[in-house]
Amino acid sequence: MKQISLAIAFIVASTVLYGAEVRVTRGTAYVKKAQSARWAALRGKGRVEPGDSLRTGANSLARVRTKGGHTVYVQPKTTIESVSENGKDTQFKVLVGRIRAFVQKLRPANKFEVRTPVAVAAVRGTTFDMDVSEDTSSRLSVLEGAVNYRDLAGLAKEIEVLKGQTVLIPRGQAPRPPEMMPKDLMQGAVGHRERVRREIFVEKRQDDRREGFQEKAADGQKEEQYQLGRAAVDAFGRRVRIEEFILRPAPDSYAYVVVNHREGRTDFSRLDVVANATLPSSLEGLNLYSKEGNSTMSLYAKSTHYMASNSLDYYREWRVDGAPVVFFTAGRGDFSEVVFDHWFVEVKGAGKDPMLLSHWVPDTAFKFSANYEATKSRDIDDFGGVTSTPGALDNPWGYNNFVKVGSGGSIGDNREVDLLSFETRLHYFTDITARTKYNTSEGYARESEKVEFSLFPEKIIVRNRYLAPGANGGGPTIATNLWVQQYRVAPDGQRVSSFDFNDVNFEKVYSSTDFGFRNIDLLYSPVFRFAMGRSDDGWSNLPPGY
Amino acid sequence: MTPRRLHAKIISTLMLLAPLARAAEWAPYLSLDVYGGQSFFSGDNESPVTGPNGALLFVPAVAFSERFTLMPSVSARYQAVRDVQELAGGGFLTQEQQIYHGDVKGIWVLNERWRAKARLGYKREFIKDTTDEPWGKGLFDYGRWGLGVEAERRGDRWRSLRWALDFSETAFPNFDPLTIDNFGAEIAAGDATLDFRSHDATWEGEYGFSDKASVSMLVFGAARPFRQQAVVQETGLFTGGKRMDYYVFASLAPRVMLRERQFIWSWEPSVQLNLSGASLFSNQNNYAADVNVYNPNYYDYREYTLGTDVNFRVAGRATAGFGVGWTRRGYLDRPVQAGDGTFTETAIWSETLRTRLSLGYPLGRGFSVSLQGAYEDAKSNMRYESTYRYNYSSSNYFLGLNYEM
Repeated sequence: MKQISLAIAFIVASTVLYGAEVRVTRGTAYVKKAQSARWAALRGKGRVEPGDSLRTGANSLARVRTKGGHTVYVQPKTTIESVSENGKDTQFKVLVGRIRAFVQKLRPANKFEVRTPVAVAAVRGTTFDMDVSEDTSSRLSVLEGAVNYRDLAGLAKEIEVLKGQTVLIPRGQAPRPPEMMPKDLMQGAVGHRERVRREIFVEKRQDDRREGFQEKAADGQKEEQYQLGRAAVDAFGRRVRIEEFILRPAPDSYAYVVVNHREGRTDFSRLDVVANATLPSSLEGLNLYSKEGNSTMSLYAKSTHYMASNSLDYYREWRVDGAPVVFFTAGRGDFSEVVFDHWFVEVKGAGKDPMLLSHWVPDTAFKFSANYEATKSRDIDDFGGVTSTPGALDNPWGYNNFVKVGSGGSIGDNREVDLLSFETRLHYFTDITARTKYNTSEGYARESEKVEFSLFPEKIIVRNRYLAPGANGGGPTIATNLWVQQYRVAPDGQRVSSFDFNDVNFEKVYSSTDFGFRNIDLLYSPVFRFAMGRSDDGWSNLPPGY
Repeated sequence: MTPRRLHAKIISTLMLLAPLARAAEWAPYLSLDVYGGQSFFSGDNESPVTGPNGALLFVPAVAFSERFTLMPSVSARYQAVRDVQELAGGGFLTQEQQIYHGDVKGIWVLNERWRAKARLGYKREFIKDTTDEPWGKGLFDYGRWGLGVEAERRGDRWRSLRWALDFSETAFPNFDPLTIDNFGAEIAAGDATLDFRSHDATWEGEYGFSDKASVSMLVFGAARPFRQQAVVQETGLFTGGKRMDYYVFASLAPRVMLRERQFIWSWEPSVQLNLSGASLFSNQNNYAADVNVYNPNYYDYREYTLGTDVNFRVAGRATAGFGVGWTRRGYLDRPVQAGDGTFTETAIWSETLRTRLSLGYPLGRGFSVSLQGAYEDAKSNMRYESTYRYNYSSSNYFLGLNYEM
C-alpha cells in the first residue's frame, strides 16, 4: 500500500512540477531565451520560461501549456513573449499574430493576462482569441465567458467583452464598440479537449454505422428463423421451435423428420418411406401412394415407418409389403392406391416393454381390384356442393370406403359417413354415431371412440381401444389404450377452427396408459396435412392413417 | 503471484505510465439517455408495448499527444419499447433487449492529412423474446468480437476519405439446432448454424462543395462465411458445402444547409437526401421439407432506399427534425406463398415507408429533453404470414431526457 501511495505521489509530483511546455504541432517554431538574441529552431517539445519568446513560421503551429493548466494555441506568423508564469499568475504578450487561449477557472487571487502593444485583456476562465496586426492593432474575440479589455494608453475605461463579441483597439485609439463575432469564428471555438470530444462523436458515428451492418446481419439470422417458421412464440409468450428435415438414407427411400422444442421438452417424429425403385433426386410433386387412372403405378411406396416420441415414450406405426391396386369409382374415374399387406401399431412407455396394439392384414380378396369398388368422395359435388371437374381430386379431405362388388359388404374401414357433414374430414377415426370398429383379418380390432370433438376451434380427441385376436374380429380388450388428439393451432399458439386453413399449424398429441402422465405432443408446420409428395391438385399424399 | 509481487508490478507499471499520464489530456465523454414511450403494432392500440428505454455511453478518451489518442468506450442499452424497424416482421420479435458494448480505438495522426486507426471491440446482446427465456438464455442472444484498421485522409474539398478493413465473429451461444440431440450427424445441417464471421471492407468519403453543401458516400462490402451451416441441395440434403454470404451496400447522401428563416423564431434548416442500394448473395438455398419444395437462391435480395431528412435549429437552441424513407426489397428467387403456404412462381417483394419526427430542447448543464416519434408501413406480395408478418404498420413515440458531459 505504501509503495502504491509513493508511486501515485511520484506521478502527481512529476505532473505538477513540469513547466510551461511548448509543443510544435506543425512545422518549425523558434524560441529566444530571455538573455539571448538568438532564435533557436524548435520542433516537437520544448519549454518557455518567463522572458522567453516564441515565434511561429508561416506554416507552423504551436501549443503552450502553462503550469496553471491553461492552453494557448499559437497560430502561424505569431510572436509571443512569456512575461510571467508561476502557476498562479500567467502573463503573455502577443507582439504580432494570433493566439487562442483556453483559460482554466482561476482563483480570485490569480490572474491570466494577455497583453499586446496597445491593449491588455484580463480573464478569469474563458476562451478567447487575440489577433494583433502588423500595426499592433489588437482584436479580442471572446468565445466563452467574459474578458475585461482596455487600451494601454488609457484612452477609455476598461470594458467587458462578452461571449460572441469582438472588440478592436486600433493603434493609438480607444476601443471600438463591441461587435458580434462571425459565426464561423464561433464554430471554430474549440480547444484540444473539445476537439478530442468532437473526434469521439465522429469516430463513434462511423463505428456505429459499421456496427449497424453487423447488427443487421445478426438480426437477419433471427429473422430467417421466424420467416421459416422454425422459431415462434405461443399465446402465452413461450418459445416454440419447429424444425423439419428430409433425409435420404438410401437411393430408394427418404425420411421426413420433425423436431419440436417448447416448454422445456423436445418431441420428434420421423416418417421413413421405402419405394419399390430408386427415387428421383428431387421429391417435389412425388406421389408414392395413389395415382389417377387405371394404369399401374411404376413408382410406389413398399413400406412406411412412422415414429413419434417425446424422447422417453414412443408411438410407432409401420406398414410393409405395399403394392398398388386399381380401384373403380363408378362415374368418377378409376385410380390406383397402394395397399399394404401388414399394418402394425405399437406403443412403448419408458421402462416398459413395447406393446403391439394392432396388426392388420387386408382380406386377400381386397387386393384384387375387380372385387371391390371405392366410394371415395372426391369432388365437392360429392358433398352436394358446387360441381367441379369430374374425377378431379379437389377435395383434400376425401376418404376411402371400399365396398365389395355385388354383396355390398365392406372391408377395412366400415364407417358410415354422412357425406354432407364436415366430419367426413375426420378420416379414419371418427364416426358420426359414436364408435368405429376396425376389423382386421388376423383378429385384432380397434374401437375408436370419439371422446371430444369440436370444429370451433378444432379439437378432436379419439380414444382407441385395441382388441386382441379372437372370434369375430376381436378378443379381449388390450389394457393399453391410446388417445390421439388433434388440433389446429394459430401461430400465436391459440387453437383455431377447422376453417382456418391459412396460418395454422397442426398439433397432434399421443397419450397412452403406458406413458403414464406423459404424452407425445408434436406441432407440424401449417401444410403438413398435405405433406410428403403433394400432387398438383392439392390431394393429400400421406399414407392413409397419418 | 504473491501480493508483494503484485504490488511491485503495479508500481512499476504506474511508473512506466507516469510520463504518459503527465503528457496525457483526458477528454471524457458521457452520454445518458432515459426515455419512456410506447410502441404499437398493426394499429393494435389496445395492447401497446409500454416501457422505459435507456442508454449509457462513456468514452474516457485520452490524448497522449497531438499524435496519438486512445479512445476506449463502453456502452449499455436497455430497450423495452421497440424501434419501428425492430418490429419488422412480427409483433413478437423483441420484447426486451440489453446491449453491452466495449471497445478501444487508437488514433494516430501521421501528419496533417493522414490518420491511422485500429479498433478492437466486443459486443453482447441479450434478447428477451419470450416469457420462458430469462435474461442470458434468449435463443437469439449473441456476442460479437471484432477488430479493424482504418486509414483516413483529411483534406479541403475531400474533407474526409476513409478506407477500413474489419473482421468480426458473431456467435449465438444459446442456439443449437434441435436435430443435434435427436439425430446428430444424420442430419448434417450443422451445429452452430447461425454463427458467422464477417470480413468487411469499407470506403467512405465526404466531399464539400462549400461550407454549406456537401455529400457523403459509402461503399461497404462483406464476405460472411458460416462455419457450421451446411448448404441444402435439391435433394433436401445438406451436402452443398458451407454457407457463404456476400453483402454489398452503397449510399450517397447530399446535404445542404439552407438560409436561415424567421418565423416567430429563427429557423436554420438543413436538408439531406439518402439514397442507398444493397444486395445480398448467398449460396444457401431453402428446402421446405413439409411440402418437398426446393427453393434455390432463397436468400438473395436487392434493396433500395430513398429518403430525406430535414432538420432545423430553432431559435439557436432547440432542434426539430423530420424524415421520410422508402425502402423496397426484392428477393431474386424467394417465391411468394399463398395464404395456405402454397409456393407460387412470383418472387417476394416488400416495401416499407418510414417517417420520423423529433424535437429536442436543451435545458442547460448538459441536460436536454427530447420527443421522438416514428411510423412505419410495410406491405408485401407475400400472403403466407403464419409465422412472420410482411404486411403491417407500426409506430412508436418516446419522451425523455439526455445528459451529456
